[in-house]
Amino acid sequence: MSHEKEYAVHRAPIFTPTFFVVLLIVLIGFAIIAYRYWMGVGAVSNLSDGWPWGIWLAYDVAVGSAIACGGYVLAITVYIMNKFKYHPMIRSAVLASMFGYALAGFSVIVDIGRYWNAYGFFVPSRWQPNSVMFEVALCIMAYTLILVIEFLPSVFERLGELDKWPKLAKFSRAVYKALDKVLIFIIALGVTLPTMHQSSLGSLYIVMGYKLNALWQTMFLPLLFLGNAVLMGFSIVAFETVLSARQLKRPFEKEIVSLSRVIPYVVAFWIIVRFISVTVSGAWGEAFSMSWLSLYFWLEIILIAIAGYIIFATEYGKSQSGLFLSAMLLLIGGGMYRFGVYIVGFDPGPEWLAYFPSISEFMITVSLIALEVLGYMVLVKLVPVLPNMSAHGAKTK
Amino acid sequence: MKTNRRDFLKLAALGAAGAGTAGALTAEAEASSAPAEFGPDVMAKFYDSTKCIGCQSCVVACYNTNFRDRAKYVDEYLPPEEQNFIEKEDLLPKLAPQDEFTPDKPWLNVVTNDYRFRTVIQKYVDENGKPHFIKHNCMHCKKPGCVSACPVSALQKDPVSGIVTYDAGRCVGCRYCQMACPFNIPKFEWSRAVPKIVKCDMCWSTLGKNGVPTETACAKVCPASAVVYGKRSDHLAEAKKRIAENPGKYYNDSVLGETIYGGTDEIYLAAVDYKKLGFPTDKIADYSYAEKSEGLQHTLYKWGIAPIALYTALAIVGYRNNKKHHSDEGEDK
Ligand code: SF4
Ligand code: SF4
Repeated sequence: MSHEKEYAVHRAPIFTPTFFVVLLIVLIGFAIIAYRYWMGVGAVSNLSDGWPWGIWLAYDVAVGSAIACGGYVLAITVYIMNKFKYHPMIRSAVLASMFGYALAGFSVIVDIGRYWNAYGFFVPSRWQPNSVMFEVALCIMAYTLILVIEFLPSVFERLGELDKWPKLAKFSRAVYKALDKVLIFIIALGVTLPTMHQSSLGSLYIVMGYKLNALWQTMFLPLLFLGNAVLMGFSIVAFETVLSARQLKRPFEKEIVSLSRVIPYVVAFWIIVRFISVTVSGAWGEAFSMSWLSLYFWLEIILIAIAGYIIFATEYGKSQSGLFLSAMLLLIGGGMYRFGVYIVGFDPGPEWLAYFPSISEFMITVSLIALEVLGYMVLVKLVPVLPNMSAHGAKTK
Repeated sequence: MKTNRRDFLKLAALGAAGAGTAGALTAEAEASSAPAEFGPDVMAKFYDSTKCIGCQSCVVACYNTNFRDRAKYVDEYLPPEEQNFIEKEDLLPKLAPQDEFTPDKPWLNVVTNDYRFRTVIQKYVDENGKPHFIKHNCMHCKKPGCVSACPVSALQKDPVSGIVTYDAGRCVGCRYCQMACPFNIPKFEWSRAVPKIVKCDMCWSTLGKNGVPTETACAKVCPASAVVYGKRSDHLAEAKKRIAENPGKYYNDSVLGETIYGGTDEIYLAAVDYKKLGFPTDKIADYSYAEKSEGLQHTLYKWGIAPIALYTALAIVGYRNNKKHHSDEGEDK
């Protein structure tokens, strides 16, 4: 089968200097996390009763899971839109998504105060289906599991090649085959679940009412978050493609350029919905008030619009660096939107000091990202994840 | 070929069931989101700011009952299986170092609710130098944002008395309730390794022994009868009567809690604008945001139809594409 040659193990040493630097960051962060478990959330964070949610939710969960939508976007493109030429990119995207969601999961465990009660999510008498959080939590947990299953073929493919343990290899090949048959049904679930929870990450804020500024508060939050997830999912795929081409000194995967052609339409749709939502909320006065919030609002929209324009109208947008730039703009603009809802546009009232993350809070987030990077760096060198350039390059010609 | 189709149907059904579960659950709860009217036995506190002399006896009483001596009350009825070391630890009053009371910071200067004070008295001095007092605590909303937000049913609204209760044994500490409360009432024990959410439960868990209490600590001690505890309907009638008898005495001749956020179980009267007394009355609407959010969720996930349909469509399209792709590949060779 040509399938097996589609991906390759990246052959390079694991224990590089970079590896140890990243490991150090992880260790520092984990020391702070240990301190948090001993002294309470307040000891390491600037969170308060007015601002109970900070960057652990805004970055690690909201932005982190949007960045982790690469697997989602590619699954739609390949299997649903029938564009199998992008198939070689799917494994690295799924791996990145898996780590992205793991990051979200880890920080939630750091964030929640009574983690020992978390089993309550599986106790039917405690279910509270009215709660958006309930749906988000269950969907995210289920999706993380799906991502792991989606990733398993690469592990079994690798195990199947091991000559040292013929029995294990034989078993792995059998599992690989069986998995290959049912995988599409898992993938369909892997598209349904993010559609649900990515939109619900926005719905979470509807119940906060006036506490979220009218520029962001709208019944369109779920739709806007879903569109935003698609944009960010795409840009992270583009980003990864360009970066891995440069960093790992692999040739540039041209597929991403043609994939990028739909992005301007998503951008246009998203901005239109955004404007409708501002109109419905009657917030145009606020938008032109030249306050910091309104500037933030415009910056967010302009970054996304420019990215759409570059891809749509310029030749530059089709080059490696042009694509990199627009992906970056989309990531920043899209991330700003999510931060806008989760932190910037949130205001519990004048009696509360505005929230800014503390250094330890920041360090915990950084260390969890470092952990993610570490896992990615190690795994691409252990199992076949990245596109196999020799086989794949020959095919496209 | 045949087996393939059967497998397909089986697997598709399985996946659809999974995807639909969350949606179906949401739809199941639909009935509860409709804004019910206040029942006849809804209990409430009634606070008349013009009667309050600012002595803070209620604050002391609440502190003693619900914070300092909490273990004494709760230990009595706590079932043995819940007396594990974490729950025990929860009962012990623990002051964070920065919250200790010192001579230059006597505790009666405390002006905001926190994990120690489920109720506080605030003082506002108007333009004429006249002091006004106001009591701040949970409003026990008719459609509470906190209850709607809580993913594990730790916060619940008692269907009879309307009291919004909290069960630490369920709470996961996600603090969504704090985010969702329009009055910023639930407080979190930030400086404890075993933190919980703290808010007024009308002494449900202490004096009421996990039931509707016959009295609340604050109302019992109030020397001026500024805060009283009883049926909401009685309180509302009494408030209206006071307004009718003293036209112009109360701000806007209005009762706070009658309509704000869809109505609350707390009834307030005051002589000055409630906004100046710390209630964001200009921002909070006359309906509960929880109704909006639940309404949206229920539309999107009615009977779980949307997720199931989405999944089925995806599975069919994906399955076809995948098969076509594989056979194309075979022909190539
Ligand atoms: S005031 Fe806040 S904490 Fe109290 S019932 Fe209403 S939403 Fe819940
Ligand atoms: S912090 Fe506890 S009570 Fe509040 S929403 Fe989360 S689980 Fe419910």
